[in-house]
Amino acid sequence: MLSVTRSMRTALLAGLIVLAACQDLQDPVAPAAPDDAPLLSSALTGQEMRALRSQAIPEVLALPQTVFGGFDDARGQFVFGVENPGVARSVQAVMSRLGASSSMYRVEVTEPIHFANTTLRTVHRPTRGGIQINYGNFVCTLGFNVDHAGGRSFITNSHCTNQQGTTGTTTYFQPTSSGTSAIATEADDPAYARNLPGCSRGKVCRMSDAARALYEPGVASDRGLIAKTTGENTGSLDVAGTFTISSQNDTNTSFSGTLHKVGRTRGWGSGNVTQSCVTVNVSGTNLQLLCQTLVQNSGVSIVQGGDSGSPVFRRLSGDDVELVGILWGGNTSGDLFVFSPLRNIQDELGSVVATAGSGNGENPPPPPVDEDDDEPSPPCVPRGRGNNCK
Amino acid sequence: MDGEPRAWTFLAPPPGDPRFDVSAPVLDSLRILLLAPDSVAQHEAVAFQLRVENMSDRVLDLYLRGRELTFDLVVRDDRETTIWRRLEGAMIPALLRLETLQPGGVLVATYVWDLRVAEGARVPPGVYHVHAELLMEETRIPTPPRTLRITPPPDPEG
Repeated sequence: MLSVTRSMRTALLAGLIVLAACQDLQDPVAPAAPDDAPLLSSALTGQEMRALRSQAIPEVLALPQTVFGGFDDARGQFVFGVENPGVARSVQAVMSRLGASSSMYRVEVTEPIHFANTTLRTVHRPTRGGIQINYGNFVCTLGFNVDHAGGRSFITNSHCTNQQGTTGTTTYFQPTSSGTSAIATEADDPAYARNLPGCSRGKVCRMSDAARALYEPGVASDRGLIAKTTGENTGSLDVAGTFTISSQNDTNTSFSGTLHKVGRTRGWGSGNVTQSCVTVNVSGTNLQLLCQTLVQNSGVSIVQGGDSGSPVFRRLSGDDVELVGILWGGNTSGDLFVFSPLRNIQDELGSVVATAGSGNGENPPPPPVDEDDDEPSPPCVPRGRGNNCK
Repeated sequence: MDGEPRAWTFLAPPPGDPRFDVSAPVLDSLRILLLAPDSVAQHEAVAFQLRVENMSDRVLDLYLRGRELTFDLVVRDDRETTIWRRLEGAMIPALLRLETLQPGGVLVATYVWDLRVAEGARVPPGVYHVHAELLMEETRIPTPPRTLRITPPPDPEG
């Protein structure tokens, strides 16, 4: 029987379950337990049944997004855990190929299992959004991985660089520089300007607090994934899975409703938009950010030091999310954060592809060639939504 | 930017200066002090200094919010009403700075307040209570309150 039920698993159970499954295979020539007989197909010979038991679990668990596999002696069935219902069809295909009827197994949708000590502050390879990064003496959050004309990169805050508003050579580590090699180097951090429309006298302004860092060759990164912790607004840092960026909001600068973030200090937090497309002064500086959005969850600490760079997103269905921007600051109590919209980020850093899908690591198509220009164009990194080279 | 340092901003009180009270709670191995004069005239400005001292014999790693040492100041009147808060409504960059303090090491930050509240009016003469809050990774560590007397400006006609 193919059934889909949800069950929660805690960390470390995976090892025990897999171990139990392996023990079932230790003696493939052992006769089937008496309880097997009523539910296993009588059409299978004893040899076929032993072959099935030795093949089914390894072959099913080789499928992507499977979580566990074993044999339920009480019910005389194989039982497989999968991350989502779509995987059940793949399990069905494998079991059919092995000669098993649907009554011989069941499939349960379950949470993926991670090592107990996987948090937003531990090593993640491939990298994904929401995890800790370190440069110099500072700690921030990796916002989101992107494909960009300048190469495979991630986006974080402009103030998460050695010199805010100047493209330098900031070197990033994940999670820290202790025992790890650099994962990326700062590639683009546009200057703040006095003459932006709407910029107050005495201030220098930008539309986003965002910078791009180019990955080192050989550093694996997952485009379109954001680390998901075990609880919303709990402060948990334990990673339990991932959000999938199934879409990105390239156009809006005004928002409403509930938005979420994942950052290395307060984890997964959410709140409601209180103000949209407002000018915000950066405390302790002469910097001003134009057309930013504020999100609040009164009395709940959703942002603290270290959460700079958190990806901000809207939940769609399940764990599919729409990326809307990058968090850069908050109030002292931590129940209000401010973020720069993705639209503004792309206006300053150039077009990015942040969604999940095939083509991870491939660059967006280069800007169109000017047919009237017979001279070969010099190499450039396009900026702005028009992909204009500077 | 408000709080521009004035010419008489300092980093340490002159030894034996009676205007300064250096009492503060000892928080484990860390002592956090708010230094300020006991009184200031209404037409002047007051300089606050926050000192973070490692009182232990071991190296301490402090995770502090902001690119620079960031602290709030809270001023209350005799009825415990907050009349001014330095970081009220402020948007503070949410990065974390690791500061390693050697035994006996000290971090210092200053802020000069022009005695004006958010609406721009000067605080009237009277007795007020001030404390600072050091912004760390997920907490705000307060100093004990100290008294600040704001005196009337001198009569221009003598």
